[in-house]
Amino acid sequence: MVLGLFYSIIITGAFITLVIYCRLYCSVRDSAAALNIKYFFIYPLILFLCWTPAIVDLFYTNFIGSSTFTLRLVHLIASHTQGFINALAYGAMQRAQMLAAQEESIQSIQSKHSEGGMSWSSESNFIAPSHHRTMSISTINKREDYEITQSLRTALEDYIR
Amino acid sequence: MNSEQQNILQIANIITTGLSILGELFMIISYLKFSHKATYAMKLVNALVVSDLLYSSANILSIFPQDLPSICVTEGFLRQVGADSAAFWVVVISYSTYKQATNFDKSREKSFGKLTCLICFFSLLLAAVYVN
Repeated sequence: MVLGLFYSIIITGAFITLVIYCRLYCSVRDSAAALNIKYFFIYPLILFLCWTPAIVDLFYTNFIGSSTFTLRLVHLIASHTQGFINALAYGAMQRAQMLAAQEESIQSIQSKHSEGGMSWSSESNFIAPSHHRTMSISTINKREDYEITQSLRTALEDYIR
Repeated sequence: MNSEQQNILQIANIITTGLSILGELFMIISYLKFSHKATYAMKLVNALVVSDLLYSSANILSIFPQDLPSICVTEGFLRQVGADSAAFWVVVISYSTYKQATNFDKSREKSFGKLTCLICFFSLLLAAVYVN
């Protein structure tokens, strides 16, 4: 009975979170918000996945009488690695947030430069022609080196002429 | 289950619990290091990690021989508190995400202390029921 109460709390918690996230996915249209929701959806999903083998093991033991070695091993590995998987999810979320913040700061710098009539390349004492001013700094981060080199070369040629 | 299979389970327990504790300690240290920048979401996730750490501590205790009743009771208590509070924190994380996404309210973040007290109380209560 005690074990049933314990697992029922886990199952109820996982079920509530799944219902909440389904409702949330249906209601949110903003892509940035949806991304945040996706990252926080990972934690209930981890809980659900890590405790599913334990629940299956419980039912199997109750109905059949004894558990199998494979089921017990999967149960043990899944439930005991919950903390490790949570850490991985946390690391992935931190990285995504860091990248998003970096992108945001680049965009804000870019918008400041475009408002001030400067091009991003003015730091290197180089004034790019107008069609190059719209170039995003984020493209550098995306490692589109070839295109940037080509556009710089064209701009330099225009400048020399 | 024969002794070889029990040994395999024991080794799997040590490896998985060790990995979990390392991950949890990494998260707690990184949270403490950047605690001045901690957002509400990070606090919630960190609370979940502390619950996981309690559960992992119980798993570590299960490695020791269960001859002493104090070890067995402590393990059971930590296991129940850790697992129950982790489930509660996951529900709180999803509910908070839902509320903040649908109707953002900065003042909601002040309820973290109350939530912590509430979850600790219910987890300890349930663990006491289980142990008894």
